[in-house]
Amino acid sequence: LFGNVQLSNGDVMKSVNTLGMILGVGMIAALGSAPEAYAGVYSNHHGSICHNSFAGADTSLNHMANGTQNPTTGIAYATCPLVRATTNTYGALAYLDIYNAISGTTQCTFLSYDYNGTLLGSTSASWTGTGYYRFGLSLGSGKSTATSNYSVVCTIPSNGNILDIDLYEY
Amino acid sequence: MRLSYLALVGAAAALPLAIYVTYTGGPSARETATGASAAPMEAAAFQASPEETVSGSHRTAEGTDKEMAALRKEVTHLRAEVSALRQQWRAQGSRQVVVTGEGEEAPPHNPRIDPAAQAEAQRRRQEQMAVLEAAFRQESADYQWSSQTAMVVQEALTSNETAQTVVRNVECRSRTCRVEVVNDGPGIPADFMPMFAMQVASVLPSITANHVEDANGVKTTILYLSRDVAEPPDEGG
Repeated sequence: LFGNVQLSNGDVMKSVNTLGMILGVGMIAALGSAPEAYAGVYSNHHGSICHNSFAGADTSLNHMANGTQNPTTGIAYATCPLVRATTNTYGALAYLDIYNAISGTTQCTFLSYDYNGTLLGSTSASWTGTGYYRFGLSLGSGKSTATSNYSVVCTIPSNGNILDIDLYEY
Repeated sequence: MRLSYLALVGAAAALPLAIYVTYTGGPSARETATGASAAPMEAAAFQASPEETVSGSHRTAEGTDKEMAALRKEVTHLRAEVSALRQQWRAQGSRQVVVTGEGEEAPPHNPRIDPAAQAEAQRRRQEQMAVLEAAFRQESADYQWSSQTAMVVQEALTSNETAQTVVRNVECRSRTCRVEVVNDGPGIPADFMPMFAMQVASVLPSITANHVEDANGVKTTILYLSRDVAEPPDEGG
């Protein structure tokens, strides 16, 4: 709906935002607080972009051709920065593709910070099991601005992998 | 003896060069003074026609006059550009002026450096936060849930020394907890929030933060932690 709209000046932005507001309200009314899956601007982020969250743990993650892997026997904290493709303000969805070689719990939080470093909001989810799984995290419009930055922070279990992250911006 | 001879030859060669640089400025001196980016424009100014081309000993008085005329023309053009930019800057107040060269397009609108866009975003977000605050105030009380959940929140907060000193109030209702954090001192450490979100995620997976400043300039962060989370839609649909 709002995809691929190039904002070249304030008037266009205002018009797009007004249209987006009207459609967004209708969408939320129809689907609760979750926007439709493929209506946003889509971008894919390779799993190997995830880094260790904390200093001193630089060797605990492998950055592989198919994503980021925790080769250790304990859990690892990883932060995955997501580069935005639009300045849309009506929230975002992140779908994570993960793989646990042995049974474990992967917990992830999708965070939104404004341009000045202040937290706007977050949403968390987890999955316990073995093998491939895909789960989604939804940030509502109150947690997103045109200038907010998105990231996903995860605890990866032993032999767990983050393969990639699909981002939909509304 | 041989050294003296070399010094004399060097001085003889340097003298015409010094005169050339003194009276004409010399191409290399001009390039240094105006910067590398100006070089193409200057090349165009000096090589507009074959007779205006100057090089070394073939320079004539007529050539120098033409060169001076081209320079005057260029200075006039630059003055006009600076004047236009000054007017543009005054018209936009403190807003950033984007200077582009000929043939270049201005970069697309960036709300990060647009005060008007930032103010509009702030206004819209405060409206959303007012709705959130009102919804929390109207939420019914569930004593059992609120006491259990408040305990989880307190435990998560006490896991960080700084965080526990800046938290002013924790209040839970039936679906939401409201946490007030004083932000005048160190505030909640940046690396703590993702960990805190994960610690409370099993009971409160959704967090919305509002940053307010009262009339006395005291900054407070209000966290709304909710058990309700927007379920991501089925991608197959």
